[in-house]
Amino acid sequence: MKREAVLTVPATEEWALVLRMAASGVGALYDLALDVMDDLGVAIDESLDLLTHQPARPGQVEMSSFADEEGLHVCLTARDRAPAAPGEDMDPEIAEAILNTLVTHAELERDASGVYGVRMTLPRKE
Amino acid sequence: MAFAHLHLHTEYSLLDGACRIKPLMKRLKDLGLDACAVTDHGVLYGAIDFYTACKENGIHPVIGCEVYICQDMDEKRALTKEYSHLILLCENETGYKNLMFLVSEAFTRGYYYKPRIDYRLLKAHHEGLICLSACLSGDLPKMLLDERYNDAEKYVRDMAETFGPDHYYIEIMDHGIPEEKTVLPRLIEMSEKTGIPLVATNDCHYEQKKDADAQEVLMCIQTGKTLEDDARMRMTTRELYVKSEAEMKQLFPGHEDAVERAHEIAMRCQVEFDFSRVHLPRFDVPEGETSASMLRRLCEEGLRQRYPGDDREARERLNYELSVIEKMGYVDYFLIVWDFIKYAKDHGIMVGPGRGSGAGSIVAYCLNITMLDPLKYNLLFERFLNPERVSMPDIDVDFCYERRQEVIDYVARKYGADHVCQIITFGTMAARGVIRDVGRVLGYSYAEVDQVAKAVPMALDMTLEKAMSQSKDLRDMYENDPRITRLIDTAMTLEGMPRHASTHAAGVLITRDPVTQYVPLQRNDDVITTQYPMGVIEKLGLLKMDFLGLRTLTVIRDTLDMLKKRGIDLDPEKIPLDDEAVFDMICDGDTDGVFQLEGGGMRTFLTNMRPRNFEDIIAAISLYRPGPMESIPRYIRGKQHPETVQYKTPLLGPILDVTYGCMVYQEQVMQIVRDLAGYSYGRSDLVRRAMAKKKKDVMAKEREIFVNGSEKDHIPGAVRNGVPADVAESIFDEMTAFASYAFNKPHAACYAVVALRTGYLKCHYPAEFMAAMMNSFTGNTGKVAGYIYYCRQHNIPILPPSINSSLRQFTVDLDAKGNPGIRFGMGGVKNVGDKAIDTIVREREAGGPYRDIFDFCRRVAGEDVNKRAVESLIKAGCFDGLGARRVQCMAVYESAIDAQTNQKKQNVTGQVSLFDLGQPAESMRMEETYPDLPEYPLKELLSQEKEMTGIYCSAHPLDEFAETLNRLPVNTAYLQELAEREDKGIAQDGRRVAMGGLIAETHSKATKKGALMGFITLEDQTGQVECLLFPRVYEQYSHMIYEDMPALLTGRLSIREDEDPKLIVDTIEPLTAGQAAAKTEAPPPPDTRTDAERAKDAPVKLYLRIKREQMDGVQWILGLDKGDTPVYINLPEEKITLLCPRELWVREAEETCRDLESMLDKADMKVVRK
Repeated sequence: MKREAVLTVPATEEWALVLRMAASGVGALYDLALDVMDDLGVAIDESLDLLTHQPARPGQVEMSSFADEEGLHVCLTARDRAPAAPGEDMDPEIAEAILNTLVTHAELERDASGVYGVRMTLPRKE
Repeated sequence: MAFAHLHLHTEYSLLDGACRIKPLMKRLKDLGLDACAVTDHGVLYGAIDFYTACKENGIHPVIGCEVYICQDMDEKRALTKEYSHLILLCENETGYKNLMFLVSEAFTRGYYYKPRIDYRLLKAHHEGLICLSACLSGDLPKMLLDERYNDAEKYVRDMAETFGPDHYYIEIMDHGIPEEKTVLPRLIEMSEKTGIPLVATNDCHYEQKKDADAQEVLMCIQTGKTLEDDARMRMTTRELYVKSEAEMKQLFPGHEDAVERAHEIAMRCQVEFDFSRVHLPRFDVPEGETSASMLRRLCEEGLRQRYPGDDREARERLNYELSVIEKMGYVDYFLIVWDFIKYAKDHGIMVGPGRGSGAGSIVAYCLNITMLDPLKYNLLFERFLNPERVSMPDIDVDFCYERRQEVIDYVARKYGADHVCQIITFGTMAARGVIRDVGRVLGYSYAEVDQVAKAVPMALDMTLEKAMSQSKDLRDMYENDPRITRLIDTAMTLEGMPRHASTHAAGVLITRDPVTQYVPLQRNDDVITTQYPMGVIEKLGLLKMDFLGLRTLTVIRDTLDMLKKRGIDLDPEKIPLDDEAVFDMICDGDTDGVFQLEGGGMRTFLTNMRPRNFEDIIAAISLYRPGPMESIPRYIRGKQHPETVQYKTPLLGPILDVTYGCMVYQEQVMQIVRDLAGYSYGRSDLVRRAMAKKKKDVMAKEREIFVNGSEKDHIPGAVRNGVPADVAESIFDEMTAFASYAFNKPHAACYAVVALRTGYLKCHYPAEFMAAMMNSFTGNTGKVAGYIYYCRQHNIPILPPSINSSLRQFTVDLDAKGNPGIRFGMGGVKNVGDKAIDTIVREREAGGPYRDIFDFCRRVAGEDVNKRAVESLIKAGCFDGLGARRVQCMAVYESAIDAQTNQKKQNVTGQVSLFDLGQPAESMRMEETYPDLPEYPLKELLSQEKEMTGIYCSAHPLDEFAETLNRLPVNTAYLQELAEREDKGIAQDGRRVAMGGLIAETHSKATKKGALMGFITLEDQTGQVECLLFPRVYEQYSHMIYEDMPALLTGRLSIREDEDPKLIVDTIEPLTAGQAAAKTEAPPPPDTRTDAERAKDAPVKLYLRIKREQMDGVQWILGLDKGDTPVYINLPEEKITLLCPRELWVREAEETCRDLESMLDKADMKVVRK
């Protein structure tokens, strides 16, 4: 059975801390190395920043995580998205490049209204 | 029915009046007032600005002043500090001239706390003036308040008699002040009794009632108080604003005529200024010549010297320039400049090669005013004097720093002292400064105000309005914190106001008639200056010259003088500008002391740029500034790979090839519009000006003409010249973007000449050059220590002061091996005055070298060379090497001097007592032997030298740690460089650093909470830095620190705009050569991580997204400021992200982003923090 943990928070900057803390907890459960957890924190900040600066602004962001043999998977998904509107949008390409230097693998999910999901995989401790 | 304000203080009633002239105009118009007076306190500073603004806004201006008057302006004792106020308004031009004279006399003759006149002077110069009795501080209201009615009546009648009918008025005011209520009926009664009419005024200090608070703050800034201070001077009313006619009438029911009379008086005042006339002084020419013929003759002579061969092109240009100069009426101007430059050169005063656009004139070149061939370097005359735009020419001249005054004195002698004076300048309250001023007055903490001030971006011409739009931090603070809202709102109302008056560093005014005929004067310290600033002087058509003092010219002169002593006679104007060795030195970044090329960033740029000729140096000086800096990577790439330079049209090739395709100079913009679109020379300058000033309407029009031409203006346009329209448009847009910060090529070229001359002297005569550099910084021990350090590093011997070799200044002398070294001067030794040095040197030259301390004392000790001076000379090491140890000299010098004094006394007695003649002289001499004492320890010797000269002369106690200290990236020389930067290195505030050196001084102070804080002065080879130890740190380390301890300190830099950089200490440990080396070479614990691992752990990372072709430029900028922040480069086209090698990691990610803004979009740069 896939043991998945899900947390939904308002899609605003100050909730990044809650997401980071939760991710740290999950990381601790799965025995992630300290520096990997550090990087995961930064990656969550970056992902939230990306998701909240897209043409379709989300009302909430859901973070889900589960582990398998590849490692720990953390996904951030935009929820309650408003219709796309012009604004100070963040460029997904540089965010993706940044995320890929922080985690083993990062992938963006997007549609016509911009990026709505970030999937990340992190290595478990050797 | 109407009213006009006749008693109004603008912002030029410094730190008192808060009426800004421009907004005041709007206020007057809103109130429907069509006339107004300016009556600043004792000055006419703002008269012309006020006049101009009124004229532009259809308001009738009245020029006036609220003067300070006393009984005897020559009486300057404490008792006579009493003075009163009086309003004087100019009825006509005679009145204006009299008012100028009065306020000038008040400053130059009557100044005592305030610029004062007296009634005697007023009586003699009242013509054309209308007088009002002033506020409560006027003599009349004072007498009436004192109930001295008879005196008051006599005073009024005297004044009326002095000024004549309808020229003296009794002023009534009502701001709700109790004394005014008392005096008002008495003033009315006096008017009825004497028949002197009343006039109603309001003592306007600010525009609107709501501005009263800002004015209170302004006064607190002036008096250095806070608003909370009970004892501060304060306005007792909030009614000092610009009122409407209705409000005024409401104040004086039954006396509406007094209100209307104000308008009648205003309209009687008719002073007109004619800004179209030029008042150039005349140059006296020899009999039989006119100015024009003399100028032509001099130019012809110069032409023959400057262009000895084929002079066809030069002659053509000369004839053209002369015709323009004659047509525009500036012949005398050129003769005046020629004359004083000739005077300077004839008297051995170094003159710069030119400065500014004047170097574009062949007339100036032929007259020896400038030293650069405008034809050779393609410098344009129109940039200097444009026949299509009437404006005064402007030749700025650099003179030797020490002898500049001699030239000003010459000019004063030639044209008459009363025809020459210096020019005032006003310091204004700039964005950051006004935040600090207001914050202090509001009683906010330093830290709170500092945070706000620092959120204002550092940039030229920054305003709070601009800062609010650019800085999110500032906006957030403003929006979320009501205290900050109050701070910024108040600061905005005061921003830009003049704060204080001082003397312009270079400007000198020369007038045809005495200066007071044209402008009012004042005294700043001992210097007489105009009361009008530079811009107004020019507007009035008066001749102002910039006489700049340039330290570098003094250095060149000193170097040449020293060389002359070695038999090398070098003409400064013949120093080659193409010496290979000089360019090698510059390419190595060895540019200490080289004019304009000395700074740290400039050095890095030069080592990358690798200049090889004069044009390269001109470009380097032009490029290394905010703005043009963006073109540096492109320039370097073009220079290193000329085949990569591309032009939008081949027509640009000949214009931009000297700068490898980059637009660098204003002249290039002018040439592009001429060559591509067929503009005239004059019009091309007008376009450049419009671009530089971002005049959108003019630019839109010119863009169309540039592309498609204009038949009316006979301009074919770029398209007709074969340039495709879209290309022409993009060229025009590029020029527009660039023109606002493009550099004036002649200016850069002149600087380049000075740079290469100093470079030549440094390269070939380093000892003489560095000695001259040190002399130019006498008194600045930090700088001198820096250059000494440089000399030691570059094997230029530093020779200690010597009683037998030293002169007053640093000189060049041979060391024991016969190499030229720098000999310390005795002028730098404490307690040894000029007279003492003169005596010592004179006696040495007359009687040969001093044999020892006894011989010295015998020959020169006396009044000028006293015991204190001799002790200082010994401690400085002046007697080292004369056969005795320093300790021995110290032991005997006092008795040697005493013996000498006794001898002298006995000689004097001998003159009157012949009996003494029989006594042998030898028996009176003391025994000249030294006690056998061991020398002081080395540390003590060095410390004595330091005590006496401020510098370690013979060696440095840190020499043994040099290797270690050299590895530390931050030292005092670096901090000094930061402090000299325009932005004061603010971005480095909070940077974690390690600094090493000697603890020169240490003390502690109790904080308010009773804990002890430590203060350390840390000294390294080049200077000192103050270090602070907060109580917790001080407690930890206080037991181990002591003076002269070699220490290694770590902590954070504290950089503030208004004070020297400091180090906030976290840790202290003893500095020993081995340990410290180990620490800096391999800091514990040894870091064995790979770059990737380090990057992963780094708290801050910089991500950049670039294209492959941007790689060179980006790498170059990254290399400018190396540090520990890893940089990742993402190449999207290749879908890879690379971690940059360690040498491209940067110090401050945000700062690097700013540097990269010219190449990358903001979206392509991201700083990520843990």
